[in-house]
Amino acid sequence: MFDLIIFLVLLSLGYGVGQYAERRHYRSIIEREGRLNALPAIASRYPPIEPHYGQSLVIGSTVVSVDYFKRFLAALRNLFGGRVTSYESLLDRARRESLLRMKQQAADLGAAMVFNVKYETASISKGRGNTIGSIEVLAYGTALIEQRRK
Amino acid sequence: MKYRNPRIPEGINVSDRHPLKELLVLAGGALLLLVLLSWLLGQFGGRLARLLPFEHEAALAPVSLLSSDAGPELQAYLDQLGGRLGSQMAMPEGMEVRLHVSGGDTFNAFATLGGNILLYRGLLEALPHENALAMLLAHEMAHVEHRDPIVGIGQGAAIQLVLGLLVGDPNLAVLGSAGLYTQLHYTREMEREADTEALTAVQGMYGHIAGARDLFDVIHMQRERSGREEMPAIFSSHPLDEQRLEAISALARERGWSETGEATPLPAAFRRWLSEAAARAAEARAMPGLATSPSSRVGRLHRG
Amino acid sequence: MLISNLELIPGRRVVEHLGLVQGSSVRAKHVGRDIMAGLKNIFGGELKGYTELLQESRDEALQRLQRQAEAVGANAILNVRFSTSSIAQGAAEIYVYGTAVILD
Repeated sequence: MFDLIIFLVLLSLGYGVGQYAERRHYRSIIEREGRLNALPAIASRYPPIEPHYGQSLVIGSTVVSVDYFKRFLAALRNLFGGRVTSYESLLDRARRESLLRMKQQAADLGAAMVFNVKYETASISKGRGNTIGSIEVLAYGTALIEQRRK
Repeated sequence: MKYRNPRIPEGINVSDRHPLKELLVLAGGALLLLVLLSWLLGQFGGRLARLLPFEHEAALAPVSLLSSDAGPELQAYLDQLGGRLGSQMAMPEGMEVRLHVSGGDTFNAFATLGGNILLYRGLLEALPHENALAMLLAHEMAHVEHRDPIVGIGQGAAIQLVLGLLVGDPNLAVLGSAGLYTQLHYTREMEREADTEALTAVQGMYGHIAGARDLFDVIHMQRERSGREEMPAIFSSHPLDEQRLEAISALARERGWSETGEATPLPAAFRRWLSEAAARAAEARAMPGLATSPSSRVGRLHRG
Repeated sequence: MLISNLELIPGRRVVEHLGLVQGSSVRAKHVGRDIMAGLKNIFGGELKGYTELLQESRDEALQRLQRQAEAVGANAILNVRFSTSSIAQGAAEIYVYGTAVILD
């Protein structure tokens, strides 16, 4: 009986706080995407040859943690199969956040655009047993910085 | 070459299913499935267990826990009472019931594998008259007759095994309670049937079931005294005391049995026998190397 | 919608780059597939259940990629790359991304 109560408390905490944090994060992401809109991020490997650009590797990474509610929902999904919707938003946030951090770094360098953007996703700890799982998303690319003409 | 960065609309890479609704559907479905599966497995495990011949059960009995603190007179008295009750019940061929008394003051009695029944002094002391004792004995003997100990083990094992395989994810440990709930359901069924059989035997022996209710009153009083609230019916392995009494009255009405009558008193020396058993038990505890009075669960644990 | 993992399409010119578009899908296996996989661990052979699972997942990710590209008004997606990662026990994420462009 006691276990059940603890479980329900953790579940509601996970849900309540998790949903709140997620909404806040999304608002921040959307606002920053608006601000960094002028800086395109391109997956292509061939940058324009002229004008001559200086280059720099830029990186943005985020580690997002799973909350108790999401983990339970995913475990249930593992019984029945199908889309794990709780993880979708998690990864979406992590990716967009990483991209924004990368763009921010590029913007700080005064870049005009970022080329050859690539992503890497890794699970930091899969959450075996009772440990919390977390996911790291890395976005990296080459920033093209307009050289000031002499 | 133009480079633009148009805004991408939200919601393409995320599903808009509401998490709470999904939780309800999934958890509800999972629980339902598990309860059904456990019930099915219980049936299967029980049937399989029943195939084990009774004679072989004796080999599995937890002999070390079955103390015999009863003196020769107490043992003879209990055996003759048990014999008279046994003739009222339809005990199958080859089924032998062995009565053991423990001098410990635990308020309990149970039937375990191989036809062994253990009665604790703590419970025997509280019995007001022979009819209550007969009801207690008959109840435990009914468990043996129905082969409840081995069936219970079979059911429990089957449920635990397959649930463990399926719900291996430690995050879902909380769903294991579904299996537990089913096991409780089976236990309560067994208790109900044992009650019915015991009542029939008591009626046959005394011509009325007057003393039978007193057994449950005694148990109920003890429960209150020990301060433990009766858990809601869903979590307790025994049908609630009131439900049991109601069931008794209903059965009596149905079969036309009398609920009033003279209660046969216990033999005068009964109390003395019990204190002798207590002394024997205390001695056994004091001597090193000997097993102490049993207190652990073994097979099926039945509260008289 | 043209989806290609080439940089350029021979014979066609890129008029406009519209930025990064991505599609992702996280799918979980279910107990049935798990049990079959367990048996295959003894007998060997292709884990058809898991192959199907990942295939469905990839198809869905590609669909989402297309939806994003359509939403920004592109008519082709170039330089498409896939990424598979294991997110948690029993769930894998398929992620596909590329550059949305307008070809002439």
